[in-house]
Amino acid sequence: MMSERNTEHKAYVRRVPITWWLHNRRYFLFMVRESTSVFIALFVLGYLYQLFLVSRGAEVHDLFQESLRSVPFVVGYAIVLLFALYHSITWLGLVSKIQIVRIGRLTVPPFLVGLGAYLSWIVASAVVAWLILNLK
Amino acid sequence: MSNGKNITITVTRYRPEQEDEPVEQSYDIDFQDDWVVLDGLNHIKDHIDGSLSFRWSCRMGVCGSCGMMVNGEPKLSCAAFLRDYYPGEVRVEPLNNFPIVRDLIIDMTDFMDKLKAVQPWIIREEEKPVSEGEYLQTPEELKEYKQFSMCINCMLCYAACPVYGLETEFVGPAAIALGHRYNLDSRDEGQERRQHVIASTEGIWECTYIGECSVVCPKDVDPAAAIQRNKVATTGGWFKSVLLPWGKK
Repeated sequence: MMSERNTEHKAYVRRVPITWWLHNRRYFLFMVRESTSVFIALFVLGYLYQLFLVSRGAEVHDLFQESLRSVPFVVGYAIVLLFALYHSITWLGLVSKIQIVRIGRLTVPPFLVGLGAYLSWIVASAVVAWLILNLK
Repeated sequence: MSNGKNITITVTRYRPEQEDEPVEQSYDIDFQDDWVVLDGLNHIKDHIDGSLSFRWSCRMGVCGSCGMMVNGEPKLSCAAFLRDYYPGEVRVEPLNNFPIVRDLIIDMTDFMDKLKAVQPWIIREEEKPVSEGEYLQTPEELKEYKQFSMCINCMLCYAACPVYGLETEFVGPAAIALGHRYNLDSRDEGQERRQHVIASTEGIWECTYIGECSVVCPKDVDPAAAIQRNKVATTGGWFKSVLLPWGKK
């Protein structure tokens, strides 16, 4: 009923411009955060390729390992690391706004939830780094 | 009356009987320090151009009728002071992401349909007789949902949400926040009945958590948090139903 009435009034429909994310700083930072996923995806693809090379034999894999020490790869991985850090930090920053943690009747303050998320991330990263560096 | 200050208010005009698309019209007005944008618009309507159309009612940030884009930001025009924009220009447009019916009036049919779909009222499997008295609630139980009950349906969150603008089937921030409000209410038993709307692809999963809905909310409702908390709860519920033999079906 309502739709028919509005059609009679020729309601004007506006389209969202393709540049909507340039409208304000918050939209822009959202798009930056989303686009960091692309770099993380590139890193994962590189990692999968490396696993694939393992199946081609030690010699092929060692050659690829050697190429990882070249300047373009080091620079590329440094950029990926920066974006991965930005994505992780901003993502974990949202945890305290989303996750409500209760202990009995007590609600844990959001900043402690956020702190717990960051600490868990750091501990998990340290464990993974230790495993990679120490397990042969 | 006047404090000697003059400001230009540029307003979107759309008169479907004479225009194919919206145009702008500017008005110079003298204003007082305590005038809000809505006062400026009412001054224009009363003294300069009676054909200007816009919605308003309570003039105190309660009814949610006077939402407009003020200099590109969704605002309640009764809470946006002209002095904050002086000496610049004030540009007033209809709320983004909604069809324009006339001038600053948008068609809110889509929002009303979505609001109704989430059934934002207390649902009981069985109503107890009035003779048994009220449904009692502790202060802790009230605190659970109170923040989300402050929504005034002003639709500023929809105007701020690019996802709603791009994907019009998205249920949207306020409707989901209000559904969430009733799901959290200890007196309510209707969560299952709302879930097919809230937890649908067009519901919480359409949201990419830009978060602007919460930024512009004049009542600090934080609909973005409501949506993300529903995502966590829905995901947890799904895992429980799949992985645990005693999980809820």
